[in-house]
Amino acid sequence: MIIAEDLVIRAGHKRLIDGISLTIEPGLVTAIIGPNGAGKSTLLKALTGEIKRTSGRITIDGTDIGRLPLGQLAARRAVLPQASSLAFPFTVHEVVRLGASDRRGGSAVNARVVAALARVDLGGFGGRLYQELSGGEQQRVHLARVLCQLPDPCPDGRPAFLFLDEPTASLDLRHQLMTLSAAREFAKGGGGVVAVLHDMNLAALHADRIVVIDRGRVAAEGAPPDVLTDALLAEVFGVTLPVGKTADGVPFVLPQAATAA
Amino acid sequence: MTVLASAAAPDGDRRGRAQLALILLAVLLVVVMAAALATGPYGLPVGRVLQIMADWIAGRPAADTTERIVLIDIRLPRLLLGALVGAALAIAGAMLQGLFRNPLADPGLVGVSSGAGLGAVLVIVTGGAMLASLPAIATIGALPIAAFLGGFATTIILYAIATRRGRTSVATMLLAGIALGAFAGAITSFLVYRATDAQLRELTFWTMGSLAGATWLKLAIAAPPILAVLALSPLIARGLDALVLGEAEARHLGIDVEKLKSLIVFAVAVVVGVSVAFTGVIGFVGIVVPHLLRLAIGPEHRTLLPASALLGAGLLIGADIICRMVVAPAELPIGIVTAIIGAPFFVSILLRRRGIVDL
Repeated sequence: MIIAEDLVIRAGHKRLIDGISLTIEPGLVTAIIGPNGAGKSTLLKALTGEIKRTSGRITIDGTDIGRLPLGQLAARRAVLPQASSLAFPFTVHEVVRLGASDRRGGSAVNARVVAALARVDLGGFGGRLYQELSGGEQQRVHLARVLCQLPDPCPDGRPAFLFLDEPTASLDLRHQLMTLSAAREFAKGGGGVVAVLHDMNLAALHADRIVVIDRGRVAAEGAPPDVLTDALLAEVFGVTLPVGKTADGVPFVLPQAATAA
Repeated sequence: MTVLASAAAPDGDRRGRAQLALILLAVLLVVVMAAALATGPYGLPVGRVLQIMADWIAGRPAADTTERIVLIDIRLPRLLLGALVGAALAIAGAMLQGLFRNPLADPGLVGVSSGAGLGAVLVIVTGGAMLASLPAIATIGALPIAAFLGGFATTIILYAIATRRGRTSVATMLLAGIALGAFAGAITSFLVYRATDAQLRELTFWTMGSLAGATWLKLAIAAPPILAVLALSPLIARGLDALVLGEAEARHLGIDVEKLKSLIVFAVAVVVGVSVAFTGVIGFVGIVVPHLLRLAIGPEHRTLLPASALLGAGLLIGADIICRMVVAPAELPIGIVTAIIGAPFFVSILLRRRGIVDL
């Protein structure tokens, strides 16, 4: 379990994160949504230990995240970045293998790489150069790398955590669904997933919990039907938009229904 | 090389090929070394070379004293110094390119070479009178030490500028390196402008680089630091690979990025400082060798670093053979040869790979 208490992050005079307390539970997919500049990415960076906090506490299973050696931390949590270009001609196989800390593992590591590539619908892409792939394919290569870093969602009976920063941003619909189902699978295996998402419908469909961030604070959190309401959309996102419900009770939002706020 | 480069391994795992390449490069290095020992104004066929070496190693008296002096006291230290410096420059290039995530990064780029060159020129132009009063050994030792200190100081200043609260910004470091290099270059140019004719001759020799003047004593000083860096380099291979993804991503993979960056800067300052100290500024080895090898065996540093060392050593020894043959019995500064071979070659690689390698 990852627990953040009274988290404050300041950049100059601006409080990017202004007192957030949050619990990330294993076995669940937690979606973080919010308007642009709300502090979603900053929160994610703090939770992964990437940036230092001004005050507050973040623990992973009771241990302060800053005290955990980087190697141990890497075995417990992985972070999917936005796809970026690489300066050198790595093959897809080599990029995914970077996720494996045991570089000498030979055939065991190779099998892990091949399995991870198959999971993200890139079977047979191992020999291609990363630089020659499309943006969406590169994004999936990184997902495979992250899955290769945490092949077991619950190693030694202790949950691992997957952090996804807008994992669906450059993906087609089929692979958006594939990515989120991989996240679901990871949670089902006992791990925890935190995903910053822009698409409220995907969040509503795939997340167990939604955390809404607004101006560095938690504006709402809970199960999707409880969080995604007409009032929240008006208050946080500034749009007057009726929230619909599917037959299963999953909330959805159609931009076509928008009226000027 | 072309065979190796012809196609990526179908499954994308190029390690088998990389290991084969390491063996081939080692064989190539041995062949070039043998050729270098047998080449020179004083004719010594390979068979004779082997005979003299065998006698020397076994401690037998020399059959021909002149031959032994030529081989053991002149060619052998020169060969070994060339191998060390070639390996040092190539591996330093590979490390810096990994650090900066840019295939065009070069020891010259962070100002190490310029700083080292400045140290040397300072001694030549201003220190002559002072050194004349000291014993000969001090005169021999002063130049390399000044070059080493100059290179090292530049790197430390650079690091102090670019590092804030334990974090190094690669962009700041790159820009600061260019500024420092230009500054050191300007002072060097000013000193060269003021130099006498005799000093100028020595300066030209220094700025173009040369393996001439290699002795067992210089070798004994240069070998330990360079060999130590070569031996320890596999420890940072995974970190360098991860760093290609970005600093944050490398940290997520469990790499202590700040420590890694300090190690790289220190290692590069040591090997480049020592190299410039004993052979002057030799360009293009650090940029051509790693680039070529990335095309042939891929960019994974576990194999790239040792392969760079082997090919760098072979390349510099080969270039030195050319230096000694073209205008024999005189010789060319080696920097001219590496630049003439290296620059067009490098440009052709860039043109061919332009669409693929993101520069």
